[in-house]
Amino acid sequence: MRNLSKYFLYLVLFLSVFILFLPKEQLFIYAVNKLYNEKIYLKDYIYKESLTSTNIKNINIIYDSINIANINNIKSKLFLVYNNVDIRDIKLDDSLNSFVPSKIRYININYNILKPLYIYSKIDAKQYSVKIKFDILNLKIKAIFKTSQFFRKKYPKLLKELKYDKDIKDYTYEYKL
Amino acid sequence: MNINYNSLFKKLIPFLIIIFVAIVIDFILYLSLPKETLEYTQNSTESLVYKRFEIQNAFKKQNKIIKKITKIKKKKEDYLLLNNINLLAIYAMNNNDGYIIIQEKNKNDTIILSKDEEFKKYKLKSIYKTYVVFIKNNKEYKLSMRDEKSKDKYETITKDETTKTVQEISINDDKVTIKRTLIDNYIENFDKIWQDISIVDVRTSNGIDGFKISKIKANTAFAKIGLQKGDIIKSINNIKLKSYNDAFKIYKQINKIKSLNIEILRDNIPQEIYYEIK
Repeated sequence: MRNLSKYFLYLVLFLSVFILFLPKEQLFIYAVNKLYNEKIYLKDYIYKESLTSTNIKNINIIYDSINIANINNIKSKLFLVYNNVDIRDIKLDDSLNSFVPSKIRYININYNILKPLYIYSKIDAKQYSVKIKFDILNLKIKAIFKTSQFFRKKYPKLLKELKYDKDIKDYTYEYKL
Repeated sequence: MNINYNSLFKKLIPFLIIIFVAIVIDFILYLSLPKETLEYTQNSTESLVYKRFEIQNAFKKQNKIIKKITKIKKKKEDYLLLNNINLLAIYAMNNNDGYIIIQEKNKNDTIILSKDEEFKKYKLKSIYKTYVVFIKNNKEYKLSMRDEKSKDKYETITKDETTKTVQEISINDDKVTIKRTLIDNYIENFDKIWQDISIVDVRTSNGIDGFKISKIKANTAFAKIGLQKGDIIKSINNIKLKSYNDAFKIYKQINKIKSLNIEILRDNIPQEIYYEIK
């Protein structure tokens, strides 16, 4: 038992030092470059970091030369056992207005060691909200929508992609990677 | 107080090693990761020279106006284009022989030339069914005319005036007018656009450079306003189509637009089509 607690202490120490000295900005740059290869480019952002968190402000997202969105703030906290990414004030380009709602208040992505097999996410917008559960083991995404009457009227094409659930009287979406 | 430093140091060693290992791993990560983001380069905005194409002339056999044709290299045949002559007719025979009728820009006189004859130091070298080749100072110049098939197509369309779409597109001597209701109809039924026309992006090393019409349904508004399969739409109302975003912007503003000026590339020849929306 004494040995076990000793190894646990070693592990905690290793993870703490590892996270503390993790080159977060370089990891972010690596992610940006990876996205660039997928024709997604992040532009005009301001990057700030502290010991355990990063904060990226005012990001313009360009996909295949199309300015598709602007994000006011992405705040991420990484502790390995508890990770949280908060994305606030997302504005999709007006040209996409006819297909999807253009404003999203926030997107929250959360991973907790207490539920190690799932990643949870929440999307909140004016006319709808979505709860997403990602099953890491089965690589399965399930999203439950809460839509307003206005949303249903304005985006019937988007709703065609979703499945109506009689129990919750709203739409769901399932996808297996 | 007596502190046994040796024993304390021995107890700390595993912790120090763990800290050291974690820092080394982070340092290796730091070294192996990129330090700078890849530079984003906006697509080139190289302007396209074009030959003006008056839509009303598509319904006539004469009075074709070529406003501007400048150096354009064709991939297979390295021809330059003539910019001051209209090609009115070709009588092609075997061995690239025959006669052609040409007209100087802004002049009424027509000139008939046979093979090897010269016009303003341009020697008529070869005559093909749809184009001719001149030679001057060892440089070859290509002069094309609109293909006969498209003429027939236009003529057929003008006769077909009973359908609703035709009523919404009026072609007078001076201009082509599209009724606003037709545009509104397409805005409301977005899917209908893709039923009537299919486009694919044209990609160069600099990114998207226009949209090619891969399919166009006969007797639809798109066909009736003069667009053809194979046309590459380069710009609309002077907005170069360098991205899907440019196309979206036009789609978004279409209900406010009072006229449409479409630059197309047809058989490698830039042309311009103008419509009024009322």
